[in-house]
Amino acid sequence: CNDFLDYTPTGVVPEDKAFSYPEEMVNSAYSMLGDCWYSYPFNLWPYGDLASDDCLKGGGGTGDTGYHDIEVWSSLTSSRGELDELWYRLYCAVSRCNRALVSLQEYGENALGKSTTTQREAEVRFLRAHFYFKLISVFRQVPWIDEQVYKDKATEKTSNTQYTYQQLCEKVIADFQFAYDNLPEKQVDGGRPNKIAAAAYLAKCYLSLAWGDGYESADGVSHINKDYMQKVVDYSDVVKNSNYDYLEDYGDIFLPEYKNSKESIFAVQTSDYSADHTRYGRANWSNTLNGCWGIWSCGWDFHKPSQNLVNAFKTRNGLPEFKDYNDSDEYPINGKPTEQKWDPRLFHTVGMPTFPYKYESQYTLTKANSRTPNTYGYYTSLKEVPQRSKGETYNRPWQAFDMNDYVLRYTDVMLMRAEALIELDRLDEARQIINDIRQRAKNSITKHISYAADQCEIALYPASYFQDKETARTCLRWERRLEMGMEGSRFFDLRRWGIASETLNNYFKTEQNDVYDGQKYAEYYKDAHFTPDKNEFWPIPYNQLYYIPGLYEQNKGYDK
Amino acid sequence: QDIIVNGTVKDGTGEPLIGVSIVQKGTTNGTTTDLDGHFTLKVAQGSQLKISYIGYATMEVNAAPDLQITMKENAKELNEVVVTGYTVQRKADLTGSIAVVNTKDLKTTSDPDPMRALQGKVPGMTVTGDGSPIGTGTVRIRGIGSFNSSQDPLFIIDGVPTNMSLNSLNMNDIESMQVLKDAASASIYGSRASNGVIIITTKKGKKGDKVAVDFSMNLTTQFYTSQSKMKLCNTSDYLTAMAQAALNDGLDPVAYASNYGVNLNSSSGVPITAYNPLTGEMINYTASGKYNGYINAKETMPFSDTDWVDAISHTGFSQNYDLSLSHATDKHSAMFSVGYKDVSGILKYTSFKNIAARLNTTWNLGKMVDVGENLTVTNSSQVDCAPMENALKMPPIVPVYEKDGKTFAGPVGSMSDRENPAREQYDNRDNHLDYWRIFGNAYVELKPVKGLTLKSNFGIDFKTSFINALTHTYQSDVVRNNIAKTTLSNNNETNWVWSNTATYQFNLPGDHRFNLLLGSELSKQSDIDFSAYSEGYALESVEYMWPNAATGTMSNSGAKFGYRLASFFGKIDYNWANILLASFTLRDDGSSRFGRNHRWGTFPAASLGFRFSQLLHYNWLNDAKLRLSWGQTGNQAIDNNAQFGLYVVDYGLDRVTSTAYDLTLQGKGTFPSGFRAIQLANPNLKWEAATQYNIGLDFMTMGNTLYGSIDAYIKNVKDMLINPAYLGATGEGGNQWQNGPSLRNQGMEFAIGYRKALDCGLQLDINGNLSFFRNRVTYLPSTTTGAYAHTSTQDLVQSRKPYGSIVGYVVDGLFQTQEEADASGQPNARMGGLKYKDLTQDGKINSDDQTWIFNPVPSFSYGLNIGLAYKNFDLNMFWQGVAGQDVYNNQKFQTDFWAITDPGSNKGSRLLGAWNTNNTSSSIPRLSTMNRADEGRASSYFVENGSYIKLRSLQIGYRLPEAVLAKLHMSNVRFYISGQNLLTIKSNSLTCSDPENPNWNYPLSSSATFGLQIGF
Repeated sequence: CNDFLDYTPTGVVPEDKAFSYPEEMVNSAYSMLGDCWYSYPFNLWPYGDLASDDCLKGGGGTGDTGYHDIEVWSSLTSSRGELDELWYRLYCAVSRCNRALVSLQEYGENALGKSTTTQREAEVRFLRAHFYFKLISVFRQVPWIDEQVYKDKATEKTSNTQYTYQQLCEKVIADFQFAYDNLPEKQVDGGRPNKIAAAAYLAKCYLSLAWGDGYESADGVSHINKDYMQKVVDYSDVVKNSNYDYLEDYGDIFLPEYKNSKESIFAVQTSDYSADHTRYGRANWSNTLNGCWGIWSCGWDFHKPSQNLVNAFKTRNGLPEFKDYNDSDEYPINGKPTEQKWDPRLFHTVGMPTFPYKYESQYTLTKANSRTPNTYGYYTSLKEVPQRSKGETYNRPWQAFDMNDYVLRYTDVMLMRAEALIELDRLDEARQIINDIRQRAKNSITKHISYAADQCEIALYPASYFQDKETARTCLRWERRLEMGMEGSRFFDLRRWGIASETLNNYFKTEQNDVYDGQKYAEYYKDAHFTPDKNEFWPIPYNQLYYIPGLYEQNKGYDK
Repeated sequence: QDIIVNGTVKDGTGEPLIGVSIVQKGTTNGTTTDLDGHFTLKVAQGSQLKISYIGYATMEVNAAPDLQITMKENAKELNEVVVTGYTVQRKADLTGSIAVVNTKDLKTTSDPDPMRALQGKVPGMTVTGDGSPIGTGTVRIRGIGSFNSSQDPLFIIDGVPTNMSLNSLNMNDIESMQVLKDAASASIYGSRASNGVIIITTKKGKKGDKVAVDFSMNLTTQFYTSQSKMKLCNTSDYLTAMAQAALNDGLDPVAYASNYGVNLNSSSGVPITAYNPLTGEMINYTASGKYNGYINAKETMPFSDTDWVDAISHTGFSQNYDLSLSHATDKHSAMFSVGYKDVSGILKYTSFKNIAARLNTTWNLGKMVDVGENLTVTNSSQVDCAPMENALKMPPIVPVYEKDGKTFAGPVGSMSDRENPAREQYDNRDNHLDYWRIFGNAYVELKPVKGLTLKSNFGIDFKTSFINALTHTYQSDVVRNNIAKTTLSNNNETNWVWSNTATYQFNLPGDHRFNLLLGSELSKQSDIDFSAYSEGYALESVEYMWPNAATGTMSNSGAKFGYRLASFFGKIDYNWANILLASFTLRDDGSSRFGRNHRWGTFPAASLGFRFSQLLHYNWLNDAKLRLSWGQTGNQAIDNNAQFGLYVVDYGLDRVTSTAYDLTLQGKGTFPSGFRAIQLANPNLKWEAATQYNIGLDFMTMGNTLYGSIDAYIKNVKDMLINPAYLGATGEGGNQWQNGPSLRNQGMEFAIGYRKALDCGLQLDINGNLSFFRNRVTYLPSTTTGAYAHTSTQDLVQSRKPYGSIVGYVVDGLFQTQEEADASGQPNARMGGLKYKDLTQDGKINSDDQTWIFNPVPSFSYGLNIGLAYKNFDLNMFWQGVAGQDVYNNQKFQTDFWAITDPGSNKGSRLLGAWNTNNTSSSIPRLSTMNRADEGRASSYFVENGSYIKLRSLQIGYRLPEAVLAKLHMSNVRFYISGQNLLTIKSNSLTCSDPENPNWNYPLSSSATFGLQIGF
């Protein structure tokens, strides 16, 4: 009878069998890089952009998705479902890494040999640190689950207060350091991180720590740790001296034809379902809502640039209008140049009515290409979408683009370097970097945006702007905003610099008066308020707090 | 002088009666009949014998050496033969709680699913369902059985267990149906019995001198009444609410409406009036399409006034036909039937068609051997579509078709990206799921010695289903699909069961009767799924769209799964002089779903019956029996692979769980892939066990006219199989099947009936039932409390709440002024918005202010059946109701708020009565274009009184008189008309139309039926 009752499951493998294939376990840890969705986007666009002064949520109204709370902060509570989902999915990614590490430790040497095993361990620790960096960036106090906790089955006993924020960051740094120490400068498989990527990420980690603990009361100019700033310089040196470099045209960076160019230090790889044998495509599902309305078959019109961001691109004599850029709302109209000139990167970053959509005049944007203009205005984000004529990946009712997601691009790392150099009083070196970047922007008009040529004006900073740290900082911060606009970094930048509350609360006051061609919008910002020493981080999700009562503690300032 | 009386006692059909009491009148000298109905008694010559038997009229006969006695039935209920699991018993001998279903009503129902037709008819059995032509009823016996393993009862049809739906069963084939409610009755089915067992027996051939031919049919139309249709806004209402929402927020309604393709300052069009709270004035607008009378820039969709529910509905129509031939002799019996159902629901392009053929035969192959079989083959075809939500949300300004009259229109501008429900239905019209099902059993029965029966029964339930689902291309303004595709799927499910039983019946002196059963059973289920996806078709038609014609991407998927069960069981029934009855059962089950160490489960039961009426000898009390029972049953209805720790390859079946990655930057082709975890192992997984105590009383009084029963039970479920939500930090595949919580159900059931033929010729047959239960979670493991409903201070156990309770905020009216709102401590509180109670009284509203707001268990439910017959007319009326029931009214998001879900979508007309500064007595929150105060959170605002009484059916029939029938050489002709769901009485405070459908389910329609039943 027992033989009759013995049943072997089909189409699945038991754990020990799976673990005996370490290469495959590592593959699946990699694939988690792209196993994301708009409600748990691993590129964190809602947290980096919606939460900042760069962008409005978009979509069918304030109730479309749960991200309205993230824009206005005042109504944000720990029960917001997207937070719980993001937490869980990032830990799914961590768990794949931990399992891959256990598999490598137990079976790696036999299956792969010692050196490959060490290299794979370094790759997986890079991936795990990448996911933890996101967890800590959003939730701050998170439980540290590594392969030892996994093996000890101690997850349900591991508190989110076991380590301080500083210690958690050091754990992440230790993983990246291991990757840095054990990875080659160039990988045979280009999708794997290399030593340079690890150096870039280490620079990013140290830069974040160098400013303080993230809360405004202990962060900013008066809390700078120069040793960490020096680390940023040291690790970005490695990047600077590598084969990575600036891509010649700014627009090319955001075209799928140029994925994995010399600009791309580490990126999440994507592909189209018609080419990769999957049902839906290993596409960029984080950005699935972000296509423009009426251009794509399923463009749901999320992630819409703010007027404040557009205004920030204003130039006078080719330089930003630091003080008065936002005193009046301006926007360019195609073919009608005015006195107001613009940084050319505006036309690569923001889609505006009357202008070609991503450089193609046969797809010129109109005011009808906005889904809820009285709430979210008429701008659309261009960087995360391909050109319309190059086809679209399409799967009803969700559409996603075969667009790599940059984790680290060369310019980003150089801006980090410039930021550290300024704080280390090496202002001239910083100016050199910033001007290199501006020069590239200046060179990025004829190839793609010639129609806007007569509206563009950009100049390099004269030495006078880099005589004192304060002005140099302003230049750096402005440059970072323009160069990295809509790439999911802005809120984290403001937080790092300790200026989130001032910047955002000012932004809320002005942005609610947005008008485009007579249409008022963004009035919902009258509800918005950013509370310092609380809103710098998001709350620990309510569900997670309750699963095992008492295991976790809530972040500062939030209710259960 | 004494004589020896040798006699035989039989019933009206010639079957011997066992255990009939034969007493010499005026003495205690007596005996009882044996297994063949024989008795032998020595009595004084010339004495009289009193012959009595429960359920039969007591007789007195003169003693004679050789007596052939036929007894006359006088209480049908008691003599019904009840199938109680591998054996049969007379109802009078039952000691467990078993409901015998009146199957007569099923024969005239227009409902394709027999269980749905039984709603309210069996005390303790709850049936819920929607109005879909395919949908089957959800059956719950005695409360909530489990969290995560199945709560469905086990169906046994002719000895073959099945969990598949019964809508393919021909209802005219059903001879009898029993519901085994208590554990003592059900435990003979062991591991699958804890949610109760429903036993269905199909018809055998009827004895007679000729072949009996029966034909029946009914035709039914289905339609909406005001009680099943949601009250939606028309274009004028919709735009009024829109303008009002904008004005309330200080927005310009003209600009706001322009997001939805509407110009409110049009020179001609629909007049709208809204109240401006800033000025206190009413403002007039004239609404039309923003683009020269069209709502889209391409000017293809004219500004309209569409009733979307009408657009997707029509009058439903269903037909049922059944023909059967039957014959039986002493040597054989045969019954052949064919039944056809064709139901077209009230939503267009939804249908269910089923043809079922059955052959039941038995053969007596000599003295010792009987063989027989029951076999039914069915073919079904169904088209299902669920467009209700989209129909209720699509704004009325959107036309069904664009101006060309054939392109389906769709949402514009800020409207949420919902599909045109009429297009959804239409494009789905060819996507019929077809299946063949073969269900049946064959058996051999040996009777080697007297009283001993050996039976071997082999049963099979096989179903193969198939669908080629087409996705058409379409474009409606900015929403489109460019690629035609198909998903071709096939599922094969095979179940077989082989059971072997031995029964031995014997009597011991002193009127002790025994019935022993021993048996074993093996069963196996296996299920194979296969699906192929293909895209790119040059033509879009049901004839062309097959994978061979596809030019684009193709992919496929498939899997196999199953389980096995092995069982041993035994049963002893004991009867002492019809006064004391007892029964003991024991079953041992082994399941492949558990690991070797915990594979076998033992399920014992004992029950006792005490017929005290035999001792009381009251004339008015015809029969009274007390029943006590205790028993254990199991549940193993969990995933086949539940015990294992499993990893899978997931190359790309879904978007976000893939294990493949383009490591080599190849861009195309096959990427490196790996394994991901889907489940943690639990080698200690074991049976979920329910222990149930039952006490019951059956009675029959007033000359067998008034009868009834009362049952009370306690059912404790422990080691419940759960697959709880888990700590996020566990990561992927952290789910694990565990034995954990405990649950208690306790309840009572009452059934009473009165049956009498009055002298005036009127026959009454009235019966009613009422039942209630209470449910409570009694234990939760500490690591899972957070996975179930809880407040910030109490979990389900601490609060002593039933499973399915909901936690939320308590609404205490609306804020009448902004000052009141500002002082409330509630984030973003607003004038005219919901005011939540500060339960902690700490001056702020946060998650600590949540409490238990919804109880899923009604106070009680009941049914009342009134049957009247006069001469050749008959009338039958059935009422069913539920009292003290909470409903969580999800429609309220749409009927009471503009912006909780889908701002800009269509809404209920209640919105027009919302609170405003000129209408402060309203309890409907003030309209707003935004949901700033998070008013969609779980709160008591959405919990309503869902109590109702429904007139489920009213039927009037006429039977041709015998004289006419004789001339026609017919045995029966009856016509009837009936109406279903004709009337609903519900609470005034309920704001949705149908208390049974507070969501977007397939509407429950009303219907009218004409039927005919003929017999030759």
